[in-house]
Amino acid sequence: MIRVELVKLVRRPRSWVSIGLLCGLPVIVAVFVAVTHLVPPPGQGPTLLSAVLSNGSLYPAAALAIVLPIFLPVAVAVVAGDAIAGEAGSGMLRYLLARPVGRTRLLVAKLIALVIYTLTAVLAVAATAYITGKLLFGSQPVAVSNSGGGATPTIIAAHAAAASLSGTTLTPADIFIRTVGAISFIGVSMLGVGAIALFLSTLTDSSLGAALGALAALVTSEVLVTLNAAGVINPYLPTRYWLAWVDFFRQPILWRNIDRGFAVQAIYVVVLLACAWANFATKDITS
Amino acid sequence: MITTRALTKRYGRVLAVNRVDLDVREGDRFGFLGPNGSGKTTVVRMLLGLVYATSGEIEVMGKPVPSRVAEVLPRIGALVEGPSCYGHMSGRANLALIDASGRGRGLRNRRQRISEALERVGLAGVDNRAVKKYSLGMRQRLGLAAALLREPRLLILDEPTNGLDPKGIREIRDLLTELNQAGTTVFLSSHQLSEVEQLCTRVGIVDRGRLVLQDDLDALRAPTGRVMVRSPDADRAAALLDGHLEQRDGDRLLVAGADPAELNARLVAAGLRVSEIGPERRSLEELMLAVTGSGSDRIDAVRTAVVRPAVALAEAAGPGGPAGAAGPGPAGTPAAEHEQRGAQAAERRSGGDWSVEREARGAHASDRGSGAAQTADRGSGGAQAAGRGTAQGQAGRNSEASGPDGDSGTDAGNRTDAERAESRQGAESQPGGENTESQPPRESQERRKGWDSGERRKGWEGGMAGSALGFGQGGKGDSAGEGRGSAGGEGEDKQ
Repeated sequence: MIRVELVKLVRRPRSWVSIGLLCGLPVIVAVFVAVTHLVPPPGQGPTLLSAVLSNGSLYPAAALAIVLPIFLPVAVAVVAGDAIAGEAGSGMLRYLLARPVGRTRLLVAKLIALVIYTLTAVLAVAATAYITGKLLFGSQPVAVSNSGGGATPTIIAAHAAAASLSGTTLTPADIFIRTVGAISFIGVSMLGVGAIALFLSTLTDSSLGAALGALAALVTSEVLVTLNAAGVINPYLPTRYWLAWVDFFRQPILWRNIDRGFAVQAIYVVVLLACAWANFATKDITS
Repeated sequence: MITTRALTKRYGRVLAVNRVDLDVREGDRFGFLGPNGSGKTTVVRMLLGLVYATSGEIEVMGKPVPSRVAEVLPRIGALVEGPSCYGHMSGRANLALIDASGRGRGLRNRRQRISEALERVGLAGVDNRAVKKYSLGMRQRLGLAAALLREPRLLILDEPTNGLDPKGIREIRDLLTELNQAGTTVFLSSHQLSEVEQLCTRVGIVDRGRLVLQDDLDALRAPTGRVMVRSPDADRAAALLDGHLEQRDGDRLLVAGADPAELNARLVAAGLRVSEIGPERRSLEELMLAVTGSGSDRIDAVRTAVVRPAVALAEAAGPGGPAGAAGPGPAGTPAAEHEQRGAQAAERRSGGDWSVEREARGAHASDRGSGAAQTADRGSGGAQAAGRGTAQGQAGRNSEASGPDGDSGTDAGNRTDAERAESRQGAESQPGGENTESQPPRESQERRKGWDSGERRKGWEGGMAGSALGFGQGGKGDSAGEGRGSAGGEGEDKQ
């Protein structure tokens, strides 16, 4: 069944179009930056972008920062929202279950396909960004900031840009390992998005509804994160630690938020998948 | 092959399937008939473990469903509510994907089985174009092919000939007959009588969630015991057969308890010409119409009748009470009935094409009972809805008790057949939970606005209370129901 789900994913034009778009955006940004050498002033605009001019091998991280806020969650939510609701909407769900495919098996297969899609998308962005960065910006040793403690990620970028004086220099191997860390962190964050959408997907027969519902949840979370009045629930919001992966590029790595980010996402994933399973396994399939 | 016991499915307040006891035997070609929305598809889905029953048991091929449905599903081919496929892939790719899903036989002979299935349904030469470019008939055939992929022992097919042309229908029928002769049990759910009549050996008829009939088709279509004669000399024949003649329709005579050959000889001996003679058989269509109501796809404007529950009868007689309610009421007097019908006709007309069948039904059911209330109401403007609802509740009670084949109109001997049938329809909607809806008069519509379902529910209970009183008492019962209904209406007005 897992193989069948992967075949469906691969044969679906949408999968490739979405990954293509995800990879395309950082390339467009890179071209403009390389041509004009105009980067956002440190502290504004996409994270790490200002550091890229001096070293192209940081560009994968910058590229992920570009797609992370909107593009990547949208793509993941669309695929995850389509998982069950899409089958229901096309009427195939009843035939799959009457095949028979166990409901739990189907859900697990969908989840695995989703994980693979998410990782593929993140890796594809990182890979194209790496190539783009190398081609357009070249590579010099990178200086990163000493960790500034409570500094927000965007300010880190400022440090990174200005850090050639005070920052420590990173070796290419170091950058590679840190990028892998960042990619896995983002992958887990996106899995959180996927879990929300997958759960909603078992509730409705409209894949669009499920995807939009997940995005609505994310937007709500983003709004609440910036709201001081919502400080009580701040640490539990799904998007609270989304940007914590930037801490991988500090010296030394600042683990506190990274650990918390992993923990929060793990809880969301486990709880929502359990809900999805409980709902789907007991649901009347009337589509 | 398929056995269900008291199978029931409730969606919220709607009882979709109500204590269905299906019995499909091995080797049957079972036709599962019913109007749209009568619960056929829900039953099919429950048989396949897609929908979980609220109560009751299902056994398919000796295994309980849904607990062990996974063991029998591999031997079942299903087509539920039309075929589905992934539109962007070819038919073959779709079948391959379906076949690869789930456990079971592997890759080895997949190609071959797909080709065989496609050949069986007449798609052997299909090319690689995407399914979304298929015609409806082609999709239907593809869906059938998917059902046939693993040589099922049981085929559960929901409307398999949808979208096929007459030739295609014939092909599919032949295919199903052939499969059946090779040992496959066919369970065919349909609302197309001709399809079932030509294919099936046994039928079950479901109406509003209840299995109202299940028998061998031959038994159902057995001679009725009457002989149908068509004669150009019908007048003289009628005179000759006086006493035995049951019904006459132009030159068509129905004669009771006679042997066709003997009757023919008698007529001819009397010098009468006979153009057609033979034992009368009920067609499946007649049978179907006799035991079922109209489908739920006909949605008529539903205006709710609200009846207050048993308000003391004394209140009706109190000051300001509607004149008609206090007395015995003219229920059933020809004048009242006449007026009532007129009003109904007018309301129907005003409903336009989507006119108000359900409520008209309700109104019919309550015809006599509400007649009085309505007449009385012309002056008081309050009690009409109440009276009707009550009377409907009562009619419902009556026919519910008398069973699907029973005659709900026993308390109104002079009703026409049509009226009876309609009152039964209204009545049988009762278990479905929609029974509180009937047809209150326009003038009281405003009054009803904002009333919540709780009150409607009470109204229904009130109606039932009225019916409990009235049941079995014929015309008297009508009066009781009416009186109470009027009282209810009055109570509302005071609110």
